[in-house]
Amino acid sequence: MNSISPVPVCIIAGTRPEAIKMAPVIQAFQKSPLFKTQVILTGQHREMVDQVMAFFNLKADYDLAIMQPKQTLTDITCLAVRGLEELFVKLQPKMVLVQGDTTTAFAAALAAFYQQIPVGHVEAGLRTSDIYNPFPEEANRRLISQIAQLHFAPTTLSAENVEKSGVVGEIHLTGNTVIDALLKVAASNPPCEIPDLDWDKHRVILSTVHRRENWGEPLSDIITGFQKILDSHPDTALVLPMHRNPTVRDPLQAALGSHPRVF
Amino acid sequence: MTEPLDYTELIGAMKRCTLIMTDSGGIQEEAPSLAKPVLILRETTERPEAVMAGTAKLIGTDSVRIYDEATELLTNPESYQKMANAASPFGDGQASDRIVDLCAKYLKIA
Repeated sequence: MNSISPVPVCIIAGTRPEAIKMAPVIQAFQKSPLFKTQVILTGQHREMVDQVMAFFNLKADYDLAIMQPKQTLTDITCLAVRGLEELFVKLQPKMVLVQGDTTTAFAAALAAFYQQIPVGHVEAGLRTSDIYNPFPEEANRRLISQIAQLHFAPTTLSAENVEKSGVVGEIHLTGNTVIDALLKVAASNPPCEIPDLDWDKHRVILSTVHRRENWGEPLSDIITGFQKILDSHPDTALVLPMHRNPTVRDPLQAALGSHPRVF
Repeated sequence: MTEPLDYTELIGAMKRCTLIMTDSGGIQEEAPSLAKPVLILRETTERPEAVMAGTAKLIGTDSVRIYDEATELLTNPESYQKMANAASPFGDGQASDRIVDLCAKYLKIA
């Protein structure tokens, strides 16, 4: 049997969620003797991506470093497509893998398409019925679906969504790679030190609230609900990792900040 | 109050907690794999799979409903276990290996 030389593939990421969801994919490709895997970061976001790469012990082969102050979608798209074109011409990948619905993912799919390189789309098939919500992600994911040859759907519902989009290529139900990443991290039993909280002393309710739709009155209702729970169940504690946005942070801080069982 | 948690700290917190109340989409996906019930503080969700699978419940933001749903899970072990033990519709942790295999087949090198 002839030994075949590893086939070059490029894996693209630009934001923190992409890095998390691509990390186990990169590891799986690197483990396979069939592939020569090149990781390309666009640099759409910076520090938060580096953090994730370091945690999973991954290094980027190339970094386009496109991030600039006050970048627009047009800036990101143009710089990423141009930079990736040069890399794809140089590296000659037989396949390009993109994840989700960021502008990085869309630009990478487009750059690969222009070189007639097949695109594999990880987490294909998320949909809302509103092209402007979420913006620009809803359009990004629909456009990627039209370009990709391999559609890796996380759930049966998302596989149906891809099917309904009338795409070309293969649709596969794979599960979501975020679970692969999660189980790897959870197995390492990551610490979570919160000042003054003894995890064994309370039943802890973990809560995060940050969506725009919950700003204002819904947030006040949620706070009232939390207060009732804490009053009626003295063995509970509430852990509320804060959001940086003061619109969410300030009301929570004002109402619950001094409660002895809110952390 | 706690400063924003990074990716691994948040997983550490999810692993150690009893119950999660959130409007975050990512947490709705992750919590079932750690066997934690999720009460979704929203009127809608882009992830109906979790609700259909029974790992999460869409409860909105009404304070009485929030209190009632949390109390049910904190006081009724049967209700708690039913949500905690429901299978995750989001994956089994093998997605990446499947993707590598499917790419190899597509490129006819497997």
